[in-house]
Amino acid sequence: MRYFHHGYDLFEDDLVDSIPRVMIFSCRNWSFIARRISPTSKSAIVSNKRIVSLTPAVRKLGVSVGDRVQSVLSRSCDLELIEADKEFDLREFEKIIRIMEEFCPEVEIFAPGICGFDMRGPTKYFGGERSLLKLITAALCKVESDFDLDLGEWSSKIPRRYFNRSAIDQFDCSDNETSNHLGSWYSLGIGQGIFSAKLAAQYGVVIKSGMTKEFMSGFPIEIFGDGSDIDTLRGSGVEKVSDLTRIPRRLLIDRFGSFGKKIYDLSIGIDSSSVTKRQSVDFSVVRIEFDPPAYLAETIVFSMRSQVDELFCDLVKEGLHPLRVRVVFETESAESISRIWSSEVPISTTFLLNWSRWQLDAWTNSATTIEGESPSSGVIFCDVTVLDTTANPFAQLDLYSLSIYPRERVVRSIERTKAKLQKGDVSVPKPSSGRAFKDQFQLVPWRVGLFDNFEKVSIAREKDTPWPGRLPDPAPSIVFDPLLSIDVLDENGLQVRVSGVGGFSATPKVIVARSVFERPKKLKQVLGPWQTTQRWWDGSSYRRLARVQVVSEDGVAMVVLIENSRWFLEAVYD
Amino acid sequence: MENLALINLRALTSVSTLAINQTIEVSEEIRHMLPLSALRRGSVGVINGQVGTGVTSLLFSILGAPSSKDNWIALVGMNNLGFASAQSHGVDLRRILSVSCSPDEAPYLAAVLLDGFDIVVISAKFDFGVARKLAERAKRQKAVLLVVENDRLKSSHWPISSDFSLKTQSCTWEVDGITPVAKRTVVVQVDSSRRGSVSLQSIAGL
Repeated sequence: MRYFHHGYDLFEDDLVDSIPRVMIFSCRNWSFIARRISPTSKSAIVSNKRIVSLTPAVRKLGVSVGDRVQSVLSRSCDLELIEADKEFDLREFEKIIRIMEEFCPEVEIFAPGICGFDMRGPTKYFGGERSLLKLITAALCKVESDFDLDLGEWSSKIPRRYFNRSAIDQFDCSDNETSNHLGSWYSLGIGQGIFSAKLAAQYGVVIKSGMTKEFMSGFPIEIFGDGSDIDTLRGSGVEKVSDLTRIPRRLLIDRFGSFGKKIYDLSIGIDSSSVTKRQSVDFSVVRIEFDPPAYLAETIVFSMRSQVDELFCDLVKEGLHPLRVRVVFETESAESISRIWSSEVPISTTFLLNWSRWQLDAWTNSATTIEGESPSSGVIFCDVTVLDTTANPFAQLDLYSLSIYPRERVVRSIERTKAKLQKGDVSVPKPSSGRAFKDQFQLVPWRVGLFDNFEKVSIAREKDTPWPGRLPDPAPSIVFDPLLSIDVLDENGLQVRVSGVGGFSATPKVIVARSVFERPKKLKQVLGPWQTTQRWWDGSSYRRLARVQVVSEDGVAMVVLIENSRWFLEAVYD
Repeated sequence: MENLALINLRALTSVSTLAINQTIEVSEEIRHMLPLSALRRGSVGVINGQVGTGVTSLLFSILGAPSSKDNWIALVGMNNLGFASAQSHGVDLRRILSVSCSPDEAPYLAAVLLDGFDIVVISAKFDFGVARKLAERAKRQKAVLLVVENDRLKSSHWPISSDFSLKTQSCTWEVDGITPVAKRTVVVQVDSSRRGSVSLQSIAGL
């Protein structure tokens, strides 16, 4: 049954029908499956010191997603915490993708554990949706033996169903051993457009063709996100998707702009994002030559404009939008600088020209340059190559992206700061490892794309393995680098020493750190000393030291260390 | 019900900005210390206290929730920060930029960073004119400026009025014998200049 709808134009049905049906494979607990962890074991995935995913066994303990690790650990101690590792998850997910590729060559990966493809071709080839689903479930059965684990009940409670049975296809594949139902380790969903298909995959159902609107109508509007716009809608009485469709489309667009359009269209089943595998462009390069050689960034950028515009226009005519572009400048004396600029939204000419200007500024301004020297002669040509494109101009990467990328105005202000800075660094903290507090995070110089690589860098080392001699949490909030020289005195005002076997010569009573505290601090509590021998295998960086945690009478907690009979202040729990 | 939704929406279409877009939410534990229970965009906040009383942890806990909700944060002239601690306070380090520079230069860099970043934390030397310009810039760019006053640095005092001021007074440590996690309670003096009130509040487990 279909309705004519006053909110959209007369061709709504045509629009809905033209949206391809998409199949989504979804495995919510992929991080665990990939690591062969059974639902009964007590483990949780941790990212940024917060729980991001957990097994049913852990959920029973009262832990929920988003909890801080510190608070969870104080509740139970036999938890297995695993640092999130998207690369590993993706690597393992490759097995599933390979199976999917047997059915459709163009599989789009949304996140580790979620992938999908356009069903138009495969449905015809494999003789209908039902037989295709059966074939896929059968193929997935084979993988199960590969993931040698107890694939028990993953979800103990069935999520609330917001939709009517009439909107979904009753699909029975119980002749297979693992049927496509809830509680299985994966679920498959079919719907028109990615959005509804993803929803369907959460319940493991197949939405009937043309019934997307009916399927969506019962859901709360929070399925579209949780921004302030959603709060506004909820505040004005729009609670369900069906309420939303009753509001005239124009009114929604007037108030919420493209967001209003997006959610209205999604709620009646028009999904502007279809499965698109990013297409690589064979030949989309333009060379801009400068004769005579150009010396001014303004001139260069100005001459680039028309040709870059042309290049991008050509791409748009083919329905492609650039996502990654390489810009190379070369001078008369064969010096060159190459940068790859990428963005999560299609790059416009203005953006690219701005970026090129920064690139030139960074190159010519030797104060800010980090790589190599500044050019000695004028620029003779510039190559602009489009490396990656998308066919979807509304690339909804806020929903599906795997990495974060700073907004354009953030990048611009960073670049301007770098240009202004006389002496100093613009840097970002990068996790590292070591026993000393100052080694646990390094400040690395900022550059475009660094936030992108951040996660890859941070997982370079096994972080969960114990590091003997490292002080336990909490971590101090002030870490001195370099260390501050201080005095630690006993009650007679004499310097305290630590003997070779790890004992104090006298109990430390007073700490004198003139550069931090105006007055000497009297100590209330002393923990330690803990001796460590660092890098005993390497003569040049060999260090032998002892750490002491102290709390002063006025509640200041510090870590001090002694090395070569000299005391240093290492950190303060501020 | 349907009409009500429509009427409300119509009323909303005429409003140009919403209050909700003008604040940045903070975590539960410090919400009650801030005016509007959140960081208002365009406002200036001052944080101070002696080293060891929990100033830095207070700063981290203010930054925790905003950083995990897509806000970019710049730290200017803040040295010797323990980022491991920031992480355990829930700060998403992927959204943190640290700029080290001389205290005289810091206000000028902060002015540029206010254009792009949502929150700029600064510890620097200010005179009256510079401070006024920074506050104006923050207001215009709808960013939040957090000034961390440093006792050891001369003229790091924020010379003009601020929207709120938090001063850590003292802290007490409590080491549980069973768990290795030490817990701390920090006493904060909350001073909201708009309301002209001063109160003492304590945060446990900071």
